[in-house]
Amino acid sequence: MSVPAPCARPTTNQTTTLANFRPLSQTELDQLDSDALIAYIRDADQAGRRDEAQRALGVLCFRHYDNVKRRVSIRVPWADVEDVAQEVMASSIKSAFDGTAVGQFVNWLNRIVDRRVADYHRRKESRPTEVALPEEHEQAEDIWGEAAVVGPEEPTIDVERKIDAALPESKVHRRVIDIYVFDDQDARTTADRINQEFPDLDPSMSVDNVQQIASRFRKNLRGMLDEEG
Amino acid sequence: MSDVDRLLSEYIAEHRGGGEADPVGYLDRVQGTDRAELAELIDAYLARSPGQPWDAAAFAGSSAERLAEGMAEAFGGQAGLWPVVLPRLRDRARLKRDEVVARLAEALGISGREEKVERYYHGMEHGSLPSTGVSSRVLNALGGIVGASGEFLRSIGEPFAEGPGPAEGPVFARATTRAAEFQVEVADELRTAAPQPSEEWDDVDELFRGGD
Repeated sequence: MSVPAPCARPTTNQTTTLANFRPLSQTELDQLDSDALIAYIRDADQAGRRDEAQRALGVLCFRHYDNVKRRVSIRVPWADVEDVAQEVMASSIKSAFDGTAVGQFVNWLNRIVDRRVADYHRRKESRPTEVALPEEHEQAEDIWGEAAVVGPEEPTIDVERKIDAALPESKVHRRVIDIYVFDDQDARTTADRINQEFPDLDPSMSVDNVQQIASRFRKNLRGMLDEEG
Repeated sequence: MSDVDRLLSEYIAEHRGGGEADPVGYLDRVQGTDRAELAELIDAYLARSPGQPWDAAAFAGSSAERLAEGMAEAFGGQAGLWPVVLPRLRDRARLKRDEVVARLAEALGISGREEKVERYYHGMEHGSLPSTGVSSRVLNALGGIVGASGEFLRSIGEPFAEGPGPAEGPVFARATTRAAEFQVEVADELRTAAPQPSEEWDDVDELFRGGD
């Protein structure tokens, strides 16, 4: 199942009023990228069309929520996954609207997932004598506490992910990893796509090269994980 | 092909095919460094995923729908993230709304006034009751019922800061900037969502509207 290629909706500096706001169909909404969706929600709210704002908010939440839950579930006990995931979504969307989010919404959302999971474990470590039973929840503050901060997220506090540290420096090689590892394409297809995207590459990308780049990446990642024990 | 490679491919195929794609089910099939490596790879794959296309049937009744409703009320309301957090806290405590209301009235020493308390609590959960007017006594009592501190509820209920937005006004229009026809609609909503102070301001009004 793939999402239709997203397209940005042109934004203007014009104040949106009821007169100049044009509601979009569900299909049109689904084709907006997430930043354009947020702009649409803002326009709809300005125009007094709360129904439209909520409809678009539904598309935004539906698009990302399950993947956020999946990412959270990798590192947080099941009893707290839903709460942490809701907090991630709520604070990410809130930041997008109050102007404190940095960069594209999807990248911002991913950063918030990393931060909240790290915060969750940091708080657990600070209370070593308290061991929750699997069915018990963490204290509400431990999950929602960060969302209580009305001020902007601090851009300097970022979690360095091992994946990012293991990636090659070269833009071309990173693209190989994107296609071969994360898009799960075979080496021939990967090489062909790389050569199309980077027609000036000399020598051109080969199957052997693809496999070497991927192997090096995986070795780097594994090495870091082995060090961690 | 290693176990990690195979499991990653299977995971990607299930995820793209619209399956449940629960990462934990795959992680439980490997151990040690293999598990840690697979966790990193699945996580990175999901972070790159564009998300799922709209599906009205799947959306109806989902957590995403409840979240969207809560967020819409939060943005249009005057109580920060209470519309998102309070229902969730109530769910975690396994309490229905009338149970929360009954316990809240008892804790505040106003048993017998549940109907009015219920309307105010409804306003809190829907963001229509200004959080700044709700007393610490209420928040401390409510926190004790749903498993949170009063301070936490106060901070989570802080009204949103108004962001950059367009030059002409706040990012989120308040009732006063909407078209006249919508002002009437919004005013009606506020009237039904929470009690207006009656001619005689009573102790329940003081608790929920009088601030600290």
